[in-house]
Amino acid sequence: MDEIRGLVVTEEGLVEQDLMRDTLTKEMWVNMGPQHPSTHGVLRVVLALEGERIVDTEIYIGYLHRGFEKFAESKTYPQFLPITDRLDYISAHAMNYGYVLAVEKLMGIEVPLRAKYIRTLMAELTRISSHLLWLATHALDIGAMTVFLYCFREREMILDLFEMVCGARLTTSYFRIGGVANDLPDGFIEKCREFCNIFPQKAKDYDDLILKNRIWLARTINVANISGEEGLNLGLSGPSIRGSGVKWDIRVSEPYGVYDKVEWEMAVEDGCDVYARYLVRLKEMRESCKICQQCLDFLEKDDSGEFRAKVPKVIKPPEGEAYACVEAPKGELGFYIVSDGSTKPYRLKIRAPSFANLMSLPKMVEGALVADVIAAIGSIDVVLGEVDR
Amino acid sequence: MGENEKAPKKKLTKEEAIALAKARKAAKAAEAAKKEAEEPKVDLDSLPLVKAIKKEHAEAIEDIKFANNELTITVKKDYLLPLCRWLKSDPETAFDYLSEVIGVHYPKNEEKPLQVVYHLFSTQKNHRLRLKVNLAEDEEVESVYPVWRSANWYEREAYDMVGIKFANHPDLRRILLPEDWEGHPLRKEYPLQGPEGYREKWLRRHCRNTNAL
Amino acid sequence: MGLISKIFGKDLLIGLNRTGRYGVSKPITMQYPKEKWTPYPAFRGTIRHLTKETEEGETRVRCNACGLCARACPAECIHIVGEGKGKDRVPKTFVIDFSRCLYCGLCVEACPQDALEMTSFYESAVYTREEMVFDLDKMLEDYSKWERTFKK
Repeated sequence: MDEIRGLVVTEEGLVEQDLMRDTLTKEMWVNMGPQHPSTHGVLRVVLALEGERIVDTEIYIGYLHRGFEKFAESKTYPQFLPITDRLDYISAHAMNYGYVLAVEKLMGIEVPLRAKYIRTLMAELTRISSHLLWLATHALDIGAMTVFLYCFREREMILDLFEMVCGARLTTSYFRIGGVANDLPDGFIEKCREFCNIFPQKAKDYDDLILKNRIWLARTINVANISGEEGLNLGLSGPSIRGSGVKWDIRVSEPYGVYDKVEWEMAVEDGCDVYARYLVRLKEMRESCKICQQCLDFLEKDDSGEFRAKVPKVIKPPEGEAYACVEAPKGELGFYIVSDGSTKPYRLKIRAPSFANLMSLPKMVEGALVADVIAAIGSIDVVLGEVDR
Repeated sequence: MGENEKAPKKKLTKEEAIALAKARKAAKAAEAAKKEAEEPKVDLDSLPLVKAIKKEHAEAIEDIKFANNELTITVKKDYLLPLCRWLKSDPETAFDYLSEVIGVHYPKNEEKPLQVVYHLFSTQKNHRLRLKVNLAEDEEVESVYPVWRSANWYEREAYDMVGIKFANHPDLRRILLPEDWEGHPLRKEYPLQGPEGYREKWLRRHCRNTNAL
Repeated sequence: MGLISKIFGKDLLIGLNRTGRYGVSKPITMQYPKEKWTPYPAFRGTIRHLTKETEEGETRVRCNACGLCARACPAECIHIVGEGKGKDRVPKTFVIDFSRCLYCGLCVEACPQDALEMTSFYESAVYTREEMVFDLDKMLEDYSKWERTFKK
């Protein structure tokens, strides 16, 4: 406890002394969640407080555990695909992508170029929609209501595009082992192009609202600091680690899809705080928009119509194991599949980015105020469906 | 009558099916052999990672495999922690990121049914490595928490799901399942919907409203 | 400059300008029960059965109860009992439990007879769980008026 000097009335008159000398402060435990508006699901955080400063944090997860890994062992490979949608339910395409990549690696299937472009386009649209939802709810937690409505308007446009392609807005299950379920419908490219053209303007709207807003700056700058080295040690990945100055993006380091064929820039910031992570995600949205434009350029010209490779009717990967990872909107998403040569996976492990990212929360909020926990949880962008699987 | 007609037909198809299956199997085997012969054999010793590890920690290696473009090294249990320390600190390997720790249960390997798999990644060198440790049922493996802090939750999950015990882990509890759960669900002998009668037992223990049963 | 913009609250004005402009523009929301959303042609709604004309001119179900859809279903919500042999094989009972259905469309993709397709029907709320279990007649008739959508 810091010393606070002040004047105190005693028998000898006014005497300057430490005000906290006779004050007894006890550690207090505050339970945040599992039902708390800022925890974005059923996350329970127990905070040990001294005054308003946090001295210890304990995270309890598992409220949404549905046993997907056990479930996968009783389902065939194509049957498990719709289940992966339910991991991170706001970026279903990215979840599908990781799974099909792992199975394709195991079976050695080469995907047609058109399918790769379609997949990349979908994955990037998903990234924009996921980041929009993040920005909306994060700003709402901190106190900026208007951003929420604007972000949801653009997100709705992306969900419309998804519905146009695959018939569902959230649980899309559009990818298939060896390609995608169906070719792009007529009129999709024009509609998607329209979205990509207006999106940079809309992104400017968000900047106008909060980029230099004084309340926003006060709530985010120098809050929930974590250095790059510490972050890597604690398993942080994705936009959260790029906000700490680590140049690591799986789209660059181990390119899958067509990421090595399109031009874009990795978003990295050195701030290490909530504000830096916010800047990284905003830049990522703009870069994703650029990638989408380039994918559309290709798909417009391409008329091969090959959206699915020839795969055997019964999917039966050879004995072996494979690990495939993609850069999901939250970080590194990996699928580790052990196959015993049958139609069902012997063991399937999902490496969920949110699960690993959540581990650095206690480090981030050490010595911070209670209100900063909300900003910190928002800034690492957890989705509990993915944490608990 | 109908059955009589059916029987010889079925028999024929069965024989045919067996013959077909045999032919198919032979063709598949031939194809696999051809593929194997065509595929250029990767010289394991030429890989820089293998070279470096063999130079420093040759005694730790049990087996090396290279498949699907992924390098897998099976490590002897007692050498795991020093090897991991070295892998992280050596500038040539520089594995600064632990992707995941996985527990796998192989009840067919009667001697060592449990396996722990570590996925390492280096953000500086941009390469991946998979380490494996085989364990007997009652054996413990040293926790890698001192090397990578992220091992904390990964190992807790492996303990929760498969029941692998990690020595010197700071806080080895269940993470996804409730504290008083019995059994480890990702073991092969654990049935998909839980052991018989476990649901009722669980509800009786935790449900205040017994009408729900 | 910094001081002047601080006094007049420049950042606040920029934000208010943006909000004010949207305040007078046309709303993008929809008044749901009055206005209805028309789904896109790929929409995955409630599943229905299709019929075909045989050579003799009678109308019958396309489904021949091969069971591939039931095997493809991840939720295991399709139950089929077949009847007859060869060309005459028809489903005796064909039940889909829509309270378990994921609407993933894998059954439609698996069907070799093109007997199943998904409709644009999306308001599938009912009062009891029993009503969610559909049999063959219901899937043949009740949903025939809805637009045909998802098909492989």
